[in-house]
Amino acid sequence: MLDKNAPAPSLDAPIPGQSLTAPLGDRPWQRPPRFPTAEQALNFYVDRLTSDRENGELMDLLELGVPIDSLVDTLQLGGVMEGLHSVDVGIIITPALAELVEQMAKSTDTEYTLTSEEIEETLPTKSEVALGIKHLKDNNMGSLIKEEEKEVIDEEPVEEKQPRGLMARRQ
Amino acid sequence: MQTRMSTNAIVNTELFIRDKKNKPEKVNKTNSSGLLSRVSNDKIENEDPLPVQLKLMIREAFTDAG
Repeated sequence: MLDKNAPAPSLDAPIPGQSLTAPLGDRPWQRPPRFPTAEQALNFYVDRLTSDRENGELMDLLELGVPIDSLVDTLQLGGVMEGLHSVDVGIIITPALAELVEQMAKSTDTEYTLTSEEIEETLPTKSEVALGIKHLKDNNMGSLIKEEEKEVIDEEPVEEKQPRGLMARRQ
Repeated sequence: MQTRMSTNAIVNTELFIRDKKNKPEKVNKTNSSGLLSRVSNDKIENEDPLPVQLKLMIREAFTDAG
């Protein structure tokens, strides 16, 4: 029987085995990397990140609250996809890249978070949110919120549907 | 998954450096069985893993500049 509550299948996902349809060596990450050693890859990133334009953009992202680990991960993963270095070289240089971004943030007095786990710790957990809602309901605040919502809904102007089309009656 | 690996790499490297700072420096054995084993001891005990070396290199570059 068809389960109506089942989530709709995602049709955007790649077909299994799709990655094997391209000829071998067609993708950048299937070719030998441009920077085979960790030192060479790190040199490339240091040069790129310390340029004025990239530096400014990076600090903007940090100020927006993007953690350094996500930023660095995106950066090195992009490098792998472009065929600049291998995955393992990317993981090896990740701590050094994080240190570089951290030091740059310190030198420009930019606020930053090192890992995404720090953010998760400050955010309320699901149980805390549920507890907060329960407290609100217990204190009869829930009904107040609902009344406010109702008022907002009532205030919205209701437009009458005008008949359209060639055969519609004219008023 | 990938983010998790990067985060682990960053955190573990930092923990390694902190641990190394807190621990007293190891003295290599003088009464080793031979010259060859002593040399290999020196190398194993004194050489940091590559991610740590790179991280310290970046840190030193900034402390020297600042």
